[in-house]
Amino acid sequence: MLRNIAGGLKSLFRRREDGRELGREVESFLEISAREKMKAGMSRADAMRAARMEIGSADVVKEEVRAWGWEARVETVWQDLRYALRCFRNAPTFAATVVLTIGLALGLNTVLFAAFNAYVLAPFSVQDPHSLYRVWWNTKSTIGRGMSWNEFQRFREGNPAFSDVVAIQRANVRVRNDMLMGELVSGNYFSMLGVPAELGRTLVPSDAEVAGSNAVIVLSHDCWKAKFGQDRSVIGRRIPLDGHPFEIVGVARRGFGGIANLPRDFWAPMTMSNQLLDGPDLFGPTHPHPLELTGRLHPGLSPDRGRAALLVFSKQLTADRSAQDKVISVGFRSNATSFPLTADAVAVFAPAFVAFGLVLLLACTNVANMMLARTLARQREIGVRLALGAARTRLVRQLLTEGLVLALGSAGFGFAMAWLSANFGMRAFFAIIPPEFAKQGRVAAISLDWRVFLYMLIAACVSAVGFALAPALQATRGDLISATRGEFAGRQRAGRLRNSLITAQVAICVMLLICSGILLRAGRRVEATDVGLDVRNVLDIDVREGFRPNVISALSSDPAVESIDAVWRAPLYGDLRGISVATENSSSFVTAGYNFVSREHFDVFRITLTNGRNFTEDEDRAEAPVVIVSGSTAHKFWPGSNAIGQTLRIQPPPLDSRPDKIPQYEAVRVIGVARDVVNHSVLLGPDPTCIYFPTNANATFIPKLLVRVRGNIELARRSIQKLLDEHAPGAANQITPMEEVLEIQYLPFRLFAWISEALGGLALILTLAGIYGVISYLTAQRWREIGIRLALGASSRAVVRLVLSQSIRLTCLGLAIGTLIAFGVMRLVSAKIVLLASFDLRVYGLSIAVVLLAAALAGAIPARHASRFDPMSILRHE
Amino acid sequence: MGENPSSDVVQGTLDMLILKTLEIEPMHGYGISVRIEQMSRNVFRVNAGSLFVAFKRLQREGLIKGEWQTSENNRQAKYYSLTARGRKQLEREAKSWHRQAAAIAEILKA
Repeated sequence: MLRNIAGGLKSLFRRREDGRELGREVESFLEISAREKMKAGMSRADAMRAARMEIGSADVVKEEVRAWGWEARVETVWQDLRYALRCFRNAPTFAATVVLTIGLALGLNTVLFAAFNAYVLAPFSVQDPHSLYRVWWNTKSTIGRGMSWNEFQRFREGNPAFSDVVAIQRANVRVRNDMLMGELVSGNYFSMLGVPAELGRTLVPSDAEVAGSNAVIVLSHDCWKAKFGQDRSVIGRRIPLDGHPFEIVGVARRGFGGIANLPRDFWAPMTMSNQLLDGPDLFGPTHPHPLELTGRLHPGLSPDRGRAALLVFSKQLTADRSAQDKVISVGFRSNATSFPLTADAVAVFAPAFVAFGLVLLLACTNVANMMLARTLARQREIGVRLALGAARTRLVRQLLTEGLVLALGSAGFGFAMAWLSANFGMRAFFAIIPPEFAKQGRVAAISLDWRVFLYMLIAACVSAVGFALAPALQATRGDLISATRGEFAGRQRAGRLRNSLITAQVAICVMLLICSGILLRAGRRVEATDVGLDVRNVLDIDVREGFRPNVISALSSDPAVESIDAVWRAPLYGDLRGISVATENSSSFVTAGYNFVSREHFDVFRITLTNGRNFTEDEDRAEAPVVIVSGSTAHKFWPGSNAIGQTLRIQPPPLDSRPDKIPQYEAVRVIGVARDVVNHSVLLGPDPTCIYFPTNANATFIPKLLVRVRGNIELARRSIQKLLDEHAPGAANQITPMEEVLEIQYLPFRLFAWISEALGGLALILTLAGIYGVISYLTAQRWREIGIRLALGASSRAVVRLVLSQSIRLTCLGLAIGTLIAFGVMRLVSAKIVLLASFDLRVYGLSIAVVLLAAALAGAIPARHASRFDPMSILRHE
Repeated sequence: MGENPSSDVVQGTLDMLILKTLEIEPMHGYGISVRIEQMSRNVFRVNAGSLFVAFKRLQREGLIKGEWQTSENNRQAKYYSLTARGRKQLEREAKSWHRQAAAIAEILKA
């Protein structure tokens, strides 16, 4: 084996010398052979001739020897490559068109793959990421329970599976006018992950030992770059996080953004938890358990055994607890990437991969058509080579090499495209996100690493085979005689392949158009849905517990503030909680959405009460057992009768799975009915049920103040911000216009619609170009026939019809197939997403019309051209 | 060509035959082809192309080596000789060939 490689390499470099030596050897062979024959009495001339006869063609012998061994194949490839490059130098427009078409499609696909790679495939930039596992507890009452500070300490000391464990808590903090998304971590965080500091130092265990100590943070490299301009003097500087001064002690190594789903900006010791986070004291007597744990599995321990060991250990640890709080199973998953590579992750990306893949397929069919036309035009050359004894496989290989060269060129172009669009796309994405959310938006860096490169290479090779193989097989099939004459051998078959390519293109195109149309219309419908809330001029202020009286008094003094509403859950954030309720006479409890709001709520959002009255100030203050229900709720529980004065019974949810705020009584009286609104999400429309309980700004667990302001909302926002900074620093994390909250709900639809529109448009252009190319090529091939028809008196209109009918026939077939597939796909999708369920005749009709029109247009230009052929010159040519 | 009953060398045995002819002394290409024909009493005829390819293959495997030398009538010719590896290989192949041939003969006799 090794000898073979070495020998091959040697002969590869001494190709010419070896050839000369072989020539000498063959010559001496002949010479000796002739001499022997002369000994037997032949004349010299006769002997030479006989010797030659015996050996056959000396050149064939030499060729046979040359062709032996792997190095000969390398040489053939090299020849093919040079030949291909020469070909493209002679046809630069052809090569450029192919590179552009395939490159664009490849670039698109690469961006998609790069995103997939960034979240699912590329491991975090830490030491040995594949041995990191996230672990959580499941108890009877809570799935995915975190751990308390004490539990973490005991877990870290005693667990049998991990060599080390870190605890993590998310913390989003306000820094002056900006937001930083960070984490509170145990002191061993950086040492376990093996991440060094780029500047200054990282956190060390002694940073996180005493509760309330060490207000220091380590910045991520990206944050340091984006927010501090890579200023090296930040080390030692103090910045206020939520009003508390923290000292920047270091910047983590470049490329490290933590081990969470999204990159983090900073890390602070967990001992500072109470300063930065709401809720009960992490180190206090209630022992809250919000900590997320990630550990490093002992080397040599399999994940399954590690999980089993942890289960046993966790059960022991919680053995003395109540049945509700005993661990019944442990959750365990790899923490090597943002999202583990599971069926779910693949399912999320699959539709996008299919859609993008279709565009690539479309580009391939286009180029296949061009290649087919080109190879058929080269039929004479190919015929001559076949006639001279070239093997068909050799020719196919050469044509494939040409395809490969084109594909690699396209890959290069596509890579540049991908890089550009990843950067540009990211910027565009942040430009369309409402500003208050853009501050919090963090996306994993989409880098083009070796996986992306490999994907691109494979995709390029596959597409090369896709667009070059069929034409190559087609072109070399011909019979020799007609091929050398430059006639189109196997014309029927070539036609069939071309026809199916066009049909496929049209089908893909109309399918993409229909799907994008339906998405677009669904988006429009969503945006047109009346949410029932007047969100203009309403600000959502996230207020930290304990600051509320200060904030309210500050706000009340601001003339821009019209009214202040205290709520438990602000609407449109997609979390309307449910509670079990039943009417007085019924024993069956059903789940209904609920919220706590103060009496100003209906005024702030301009929700009209269709019946009954609003809460009184006293009811708000006492959180009295009265409720206002939405119209649908009233209709659901008391159809046909008046809801006012009715009683609702409430079943308390089981301990521990309780939301932080529930009604404290078993029965409530309905005092009002409010118009239906969207509290949950625009995707689901107005809430099917919603029960409002009274509350006030000073009650527990009322984190949100919703404020209606007068005049310009941005001015009001700034003045409120300033006011709060003066009177209640650190009180409000975020001030978000409710309009932006609504925008965020529309965002996914807009994004989907844009992407699918772009794909559909690209598909349309590709199809148009494809049909145009093929029809004009076909017309050019039939010029002789068309000329004769014209000479025999065919009208130019008849010629146009002749050419057009061909393209229209294929288009119609493609339309039928594409529409059917789109219909099937939509049926499948709409089973999951109700919004896409309705059969939209207008979208189908319009998409079909557009493609038909495009096809007619693409065919019309060559057809007109054909009708203007001059029959005399054609006949003279004959 | 009908009067000549000779045939091409049995598939896959050319290498062994070449090694065998070189067992006694180094030889040049033509000599080898003539010797194979003679030894087989003109049953086998060696195609020159196959012969040269076989030389290349055997050299690559290190079983024979070639050297330019002056032939008996003062001509330059490339003489091939067995290497130690080639000698061992010949022994092995001959042994296994005898066994197989005997077995096939047995089968055909039955």
